Amino acid sequence: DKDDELAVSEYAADIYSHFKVQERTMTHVPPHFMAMQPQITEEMRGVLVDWLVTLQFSFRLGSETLYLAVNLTDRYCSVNEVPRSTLQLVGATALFIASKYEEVSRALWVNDLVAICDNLYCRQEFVKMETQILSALGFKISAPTAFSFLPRYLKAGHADQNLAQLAAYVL
Amino acid sequence: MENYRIMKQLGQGVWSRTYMGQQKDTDQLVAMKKFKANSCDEGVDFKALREIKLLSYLQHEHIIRLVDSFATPDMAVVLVYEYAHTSLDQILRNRDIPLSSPDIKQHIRMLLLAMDACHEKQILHRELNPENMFYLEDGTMKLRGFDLARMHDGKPNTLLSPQAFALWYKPPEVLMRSQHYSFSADMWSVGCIFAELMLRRPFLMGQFTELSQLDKIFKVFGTPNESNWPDYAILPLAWHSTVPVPPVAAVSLDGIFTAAPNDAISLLKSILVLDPSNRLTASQALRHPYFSNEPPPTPKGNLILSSPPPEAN
Repeated sequence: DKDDELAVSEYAADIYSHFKVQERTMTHVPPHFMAMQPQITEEMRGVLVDWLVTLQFSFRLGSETLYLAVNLTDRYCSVNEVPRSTLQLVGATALFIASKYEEVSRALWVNDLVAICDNLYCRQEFVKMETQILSALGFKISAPTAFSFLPRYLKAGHADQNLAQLAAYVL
Repeated sequence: MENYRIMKQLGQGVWSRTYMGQQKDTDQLVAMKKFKANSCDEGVDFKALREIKLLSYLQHEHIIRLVDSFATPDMAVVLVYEYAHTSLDQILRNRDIPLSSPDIKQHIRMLLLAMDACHEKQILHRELNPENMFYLEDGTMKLRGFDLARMHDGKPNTLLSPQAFALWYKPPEVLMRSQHYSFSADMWSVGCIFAELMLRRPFLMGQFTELSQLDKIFKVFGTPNESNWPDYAILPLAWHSTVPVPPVAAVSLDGIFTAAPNDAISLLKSILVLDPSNRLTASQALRHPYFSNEPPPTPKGNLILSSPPPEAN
């Protein structure tokens, strides 16, 4: 699961600096997938992730859903060249897939996607992108995200409630 | 899709069709479930994603293996499973297949092993019936039908839909519209399948409606009351006219399963209990003396799965 570890180690580098021992096992995959993308930059990815976070709040999605969405976006970007104009489409669709995968009751509908992207893309584009992402990842959706490692690390670090809150916030 | 040859259609459901297929490079037989493309205009069917999630999480000898999954050009999702030759439903209906008590012991043992694996991973199956128990050529039972399955955290406040379960295998608390059922609900279905193996016909055959199903259950197990099911009164349907008046007493299962050995009836009695909190769990059931007593279960390789080929004249 090189790809999975790649995504995780990417977060791990700056987040888990205080859990150095565990971190070492994951940082051996150098995550520079963004360098391959001619049209999008790390900054754009950052903006996209921030936007996904706001969506997580407004649609009351679980944290797992958010982390999975970011992970799917990154994995898709590491195997496909994404034009600047479709980055938002990829991100929103990844959130859509993640919500279907993780949420117990349906939380996000195609119409929501159209609305949150301000009619930039139409229904068909989302539905098509969904299949494209799933096919590109060979339907291997599940991935250990930073969030799935958090509880384990908190335990390993004998974290108290404050540290747990702080860690969840930083993540 | 280009890696598979479709051979014939096996079945059709509300959301999907199942085909028998063959992997082109290996000639391996597979079962392929094709979810209808964009049936709800909401893109990929979330039930397909759920099933992929659960099956990749649940890898077990007695649970169907997902071989592959992909999307077709017309954007339908296809799940590819290992191919199973027959189901318990077909076995039970084929009168040419004898079913001895050691055979029954093996069938129910494999089901309990599958159930134990699901419940240990906090997964509720919610659609156990003989049609979802498939058999490989070597006699290994493989549980299928995870369309309605879901993760359950075991917390009592999680709401669950009372729409799940096939009627004859539906537990009484779900029939009474409980939304807080748990792993014990699957165990009721296991008990019904166990009974069906012994009777060779479905045990509690309600006629179309949930009310008639409840009626069947109460006629055998008696009407619920403070002593046999202390919590029944808080169920949503307890105050409607679901419970027959005057109360009916339970009948003895020994009188129904006259041919069954005592240890089998004792196990059945500890699984089919009205009060969900008093039903055995899958792992408890597997430790029941029935499985260690003589005769030992038939080795799965010796189970008869299809009728013998007609004698050549």
